Parts: sequence; C-alpha cells; structure tokens
Amino acid sequence: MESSAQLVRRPGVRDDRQSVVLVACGVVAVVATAVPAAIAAERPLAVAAARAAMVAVPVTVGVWIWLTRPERRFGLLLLTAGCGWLLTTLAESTDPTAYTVGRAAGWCVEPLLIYLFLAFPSGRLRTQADRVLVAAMVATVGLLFLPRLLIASSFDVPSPYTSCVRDCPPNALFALAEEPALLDGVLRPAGVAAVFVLMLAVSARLTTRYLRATSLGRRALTPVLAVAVARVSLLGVAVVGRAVDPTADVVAVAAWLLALAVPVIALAFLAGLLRWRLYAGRALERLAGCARTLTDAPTLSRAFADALEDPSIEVIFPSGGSDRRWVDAHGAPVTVPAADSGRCLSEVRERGRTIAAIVHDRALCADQTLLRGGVALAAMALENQRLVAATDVALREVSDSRARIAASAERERRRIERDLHDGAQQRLVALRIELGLAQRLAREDPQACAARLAALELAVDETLEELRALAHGVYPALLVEGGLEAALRAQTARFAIPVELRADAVGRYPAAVECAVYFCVVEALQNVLKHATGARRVVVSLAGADAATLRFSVRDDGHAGRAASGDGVGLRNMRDRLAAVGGDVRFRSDPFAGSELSGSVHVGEDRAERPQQGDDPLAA
Amino acid sequence: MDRHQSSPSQPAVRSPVTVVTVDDQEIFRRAARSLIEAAPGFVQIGEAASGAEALALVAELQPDLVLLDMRMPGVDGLETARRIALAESPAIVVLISLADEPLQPTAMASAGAAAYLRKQDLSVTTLDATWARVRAADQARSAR
Repeated sequence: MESSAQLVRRPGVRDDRQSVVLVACGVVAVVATAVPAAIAAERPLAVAAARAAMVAVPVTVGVWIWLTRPERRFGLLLLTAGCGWLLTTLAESTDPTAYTVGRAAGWCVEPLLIYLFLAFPSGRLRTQADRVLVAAMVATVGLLFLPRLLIASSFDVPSPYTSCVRDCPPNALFALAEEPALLDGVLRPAGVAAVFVLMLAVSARLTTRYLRATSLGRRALTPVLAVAVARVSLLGVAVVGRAVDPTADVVAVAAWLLALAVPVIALAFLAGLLRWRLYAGRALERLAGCARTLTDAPTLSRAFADALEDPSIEVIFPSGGSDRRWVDAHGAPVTVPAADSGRCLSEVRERGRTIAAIVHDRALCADQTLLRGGVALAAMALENQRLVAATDVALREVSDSRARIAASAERERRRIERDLHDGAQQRLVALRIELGLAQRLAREDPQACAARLAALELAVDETLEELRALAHGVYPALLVEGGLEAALRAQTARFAIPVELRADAVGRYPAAVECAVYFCVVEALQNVLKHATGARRVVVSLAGADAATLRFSVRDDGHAGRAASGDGVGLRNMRDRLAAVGGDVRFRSDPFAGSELSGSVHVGEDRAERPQQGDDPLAA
Repeated sequence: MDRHQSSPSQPAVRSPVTVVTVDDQEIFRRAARSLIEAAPGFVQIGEAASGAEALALVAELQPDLVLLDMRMPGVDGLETARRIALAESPAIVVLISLADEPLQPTAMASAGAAAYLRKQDLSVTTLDATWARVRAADQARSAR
C-alpha cells in the first residue's frame, strides 16, 4: 500500500501542516457563521449550529481536497461555495441590508452547487449537456431571481437560508411604490417552473451518469449522486410547494432539510473521493504487482481489466503503419472509440514514441493520477516485455553465432589438416622415397644420382612454396608485421582484377580486429571473382580517421548474380567473424552499379600501436 | 598381359611381381612409380586415383600386389580392400598411409589386407621385405 499511496498523494504538503490549516479553517468558519446566526429569534443555538455546519463542513472539505488532491479545482470550487454559504448566513440578520445580501447569496450559490454535482470529481464539466444545465441554472437565477432585488418588496419564505418565517426584514433594495405585476405575473411562476424543470433535468442527468458509470465510477459517485439527487429533487418540490402554500409545515421542513443537506453534500464529496482514492491505490497496487510478471499483450489487457474492475478495458497497440491504426493484443484491427461513446483512449508513450494505448471508461479520465499511474505501469510492463524479448533474440543470436564460429573454426582446422596431408606431407613423403632411390643410385651411377638430386632440389622448393602459401592462408605474416594496410596491399597486388586500395589514417589495431577485417576483405574479393560478372575494377577502402571506429568497404563495378544476394553463408561467416570483435558488415548490391560490402568495427580505446601479443587470430 | 603365375615347385622361374598403385595424390603416385621402377623384381602395371578406379583396374589387370592408400575421397582404402577381397581376386593388398599410428591388425585383417606400410617407410628394401613376408603368409594359407 505504501508505494501506491505515494503515487496518489501529492508530495509537498505535510500532514501536520494540513491538519493545522484544516482546523483553522473549520474554526474560523464556525465562529464567523455561528456568531451572527445566534441572533436568530427562535432556537438560536440550533440555528447557529446548523448555519455553522453549512459553512464549516464545505469549507474544511474544500480546503482538504485543495491541499491533497492533484486536481485542486474541485476543492477550490467547494471552498468558493462554502464562502457563498457563509454569505447566506447574513439572511439570519434582522438588518434589511444584511438580510437582502444573505438571500441574494442563497440564489447565487445554487448554480455553483449544480456545477459541483455535475463536475464531481474532476471539477470540470465534461459533456455539453452538463454545460447547458449549468448555463440554464445561471440564466434562471440571473433572469428570474436576481431582478427581484429591484422589484420585490420582500423575499419568499420559508427559505433554507433563514429561520425567519414571518415579519422578516424587507428587501433593502426595493425602491418602487408597489411591486410591478411582472413579479407575480411572470417572475414568480416562471422561476418556480424553471427551477422545477431544471431540478428534474439535473436529477435525470445524474441518474443517467450513475447508470452509465462502470463499477469504477460508481464507487466515487454513489454517495455524491445519492445526496445530489435527493437535494435537487427536494429543491424542486420545495419551490413548488412554497408557491402553492408558503405556510404549509411540509414546506418549512423541506427548507430545513435543504439547509442541512449542505454539510451532508460536502461529506458525500469527501466520502466519494476517499472511496475513489482507496480504490485507485488498490488498483495501482494490483497493477504494479503484476506488471513485473506480465509476459505478453493479452495478459497485460487482462491485468488492466482485473485491476480496474472494468472488463471492457483494453490495451491496444499501434499497427506500425503511418495511418495511426490500432490492433488488439491478438493483432486484430481495432476501431478507436468515438468522442461521445463514453470511452476514451489514453496513449502509452515511451521515449516520445507511442507504444500502446489503453481504451477505458470515460470515468477513468476523472482520475488523472490513476490513469497516469496505470499508463506508466503499462509502459513499464511493455518495456520490460520488449527488453526480455530483445534479450532473448540477442542471446539466441549470440549463441547461434558462437556455434557458427566454433563450427567455422573446426572446418578451418580440418581444411588446414587436409591441405597439409594432401600437399606438403605427400611431397615430403615423395621426397623421402626419392632420396632413398638417390641413395641407391649413388653407389651404382653417381652421375644419374646427381641429376636426380638436382630434380629433388626443385621438389623441395615446391614444398616450401606450398607451406608458405598455406601459412599465409592461416595468418599472413605481413598482417602481424606491417598491419592491415600493408597486408591488404600485398594481397590485392596479386589479385586477378585491378584493385585500388584507399587507406585513410589506418593505424594498428588489436590482432583479432586486424585479422577479422583482413579475412572479410579477402573473402569479399573472392566473392567478387566468383559472383560479380564483368567486374573490371575493385575499390577497397579502409578508413580509420574516426578514432572509435574502423570502417572498410569492398566495391566492384560488376553485375552481381543471384548468388550475391547478401544472405549467403559467406556473408554470415563475415558477420560472425566481425561480430566476435564488436563489428558488423552490410552487403548492398545493385544490378547496374555493382556491389558493395561495407563494415565497421568499434575499436574504441583498444586502438593499439602494436597488436597485442598472444592474441589468437584464429579465435576470431 | 604380363600375368605372373608363380608356383612353389618352381622357385627358380621368377617373373616380376606385378603392382597396381592406388592413391588420390599424383605426387605420391609419381614417387611410387619411381620406386617400383627401381625395385628389382617388381613392375608397375597400372595406377588408380580412386577406390572405384582401383576395383575396375584390379579386376582387369589381376596384379600380384596392390599398394592401396587408405585415405581417399569417396570409397576409401579399407572399403576398396574389402571389395577386392569380396571379388575373390588373388591380388595381395598392402595398405599404405601417412598415419602416425600403425593400423590395428584386426582392422587390416577384417578388410582382407595382408599388410600395412607407412608411406614414409616405403623404400626398395621395405617393399621387398614386405612382399616376401606377405607372399610367404599367403602361400602358407594356400597350403592349408
């Protein structure tokens, strides 16, 4: 729980400081409210307690949300409403001006309350319908209620904001001789009707929202929506009831219930947020728990659905094309949810690249922390999965390459043994036999013997040349003594096609590197002879100007046949040879512009003036 | 054909031993040719560069002695010796090779070869001695 709690809580505001601020807010609100309210005519203590609760609870909850939530907007709105309710306390006053301000504040705070209901828990109105409802409520108050400040001699009672029911103070702003007919003819009935209809609409909207919410959304919404629907229904009934019979007991009771609903609403907000927070923490904890062990995309999708208790949640992936299409965990195409479908898509990005997206209920958008946490965990799981897969591939590649290198070394040893057996050894055996014959001849015919020995001299020379060529094939002596450039210059000078060797700032490198590059170039030259028909010229380039990398290429102007497709055994051998010293090789072939084999080896700090002694060139 | 028909009852009449050399290496065949030419009492009547060629040549020429290289591509020396024996050829097979280790007598016997000689030990003297030895053994076996 510790780790997920840290994810949810915004760090910075310490608990003890929070408590101090909260208690201070509560005390100030209670004092500021209760003192003026205590002057009420009847049951002043009860009235003072009720008014104090109406202000202190929303203010304290608002400040708490503002202090602790990442989205402070809702907390700020609730705090503002609390200040509005503080102003309504003035309606307990017997002073006409204070009374008038208090009653006007009562009207003004209603649209804010509707806003809070509809915007819970993010503090933002998410749909057009919500915005229309709030605007209609603002218009109703602005057009049908606030004008009464000028044309009504008194305010309607009973009201949730005053305990006064008879002989209440007059409207301090009323300056006319008598109330115009507009008031009773239009404003009062229209106001009642508008409030009633709006309250019905808000109730319907909240109910719809509740019904459409996932189990996830309902956790937070249940307490708030229950209280909200009760409150707006009660307001609708109370307004109509007051218009019919202001003296009815039921209207007075409704007025008090509306007043007491205010602290209950604030507590419902608190309960909803706490339930949401607890839930989000648990969901993240569950997700984090399985993020490390997720092995594939379907499992990730299921883990999200389980953790957020929303079976419809889905993790989808970009198809890889340029057209921003998506596929599901099994590779089937997915259509992105429309804006008004109640579902949204949150992209998972890793190093600036979209690697996946989560399609989830719109309710989840309300908690950006949970969403961001989930997305981060998804990114982590996917990255982990990618790394595991990449490591597997790399390991397999290394193991394959190692096996190929071992097999290649084995083949090479067999070839050397065969060359020795079929060449030098046979020659030496023949020499031995011939020497024996010459020895016999020496006794019988010394002249013939001398001729025979002269012939044997030639045979010895041939044997020596064969051994020299073989040794050169195993490891050219010039490579050890003169380095890559000298060895390749000697090699290319003997080549059947004219070779231009361009060497730029080529120094000495570790023996394994020089050996690998040398044999790659030699093999590439052999390939030119074998595969590039009509090649008239070959350019071999060596570039060592970049201290960290040795580059080389073999380019010809022939027509590469099909054999030179770039995936043959020869190229794989070269690749393995270079990979063993941290290099790579590429092959490019153009039917009209010849072929090019190019490669590079990272030499880094290992660049040596002299090859290291004891390096086994065959090991590469 | 210069077929040699020796008989124990007529030791004085001794026609040269006919030899076929089998080796995939031209260099060695050339040396062997010189050796047999220089060895009194031996005459080379044919050369083969592979096991298959050797089988045909032995069947055709019916030599007294086959100098057979063990290591050849395709049908190797041991297999060639086995097939010569199967063909009930009277030719005596002497296996030769460059090997460091001498051939196991059992392997040699199972292939139907009479002797084994290292190539590097070949000389007029060893050829003579080996022939005398295998010839005697062959006659002893025939007598039984």
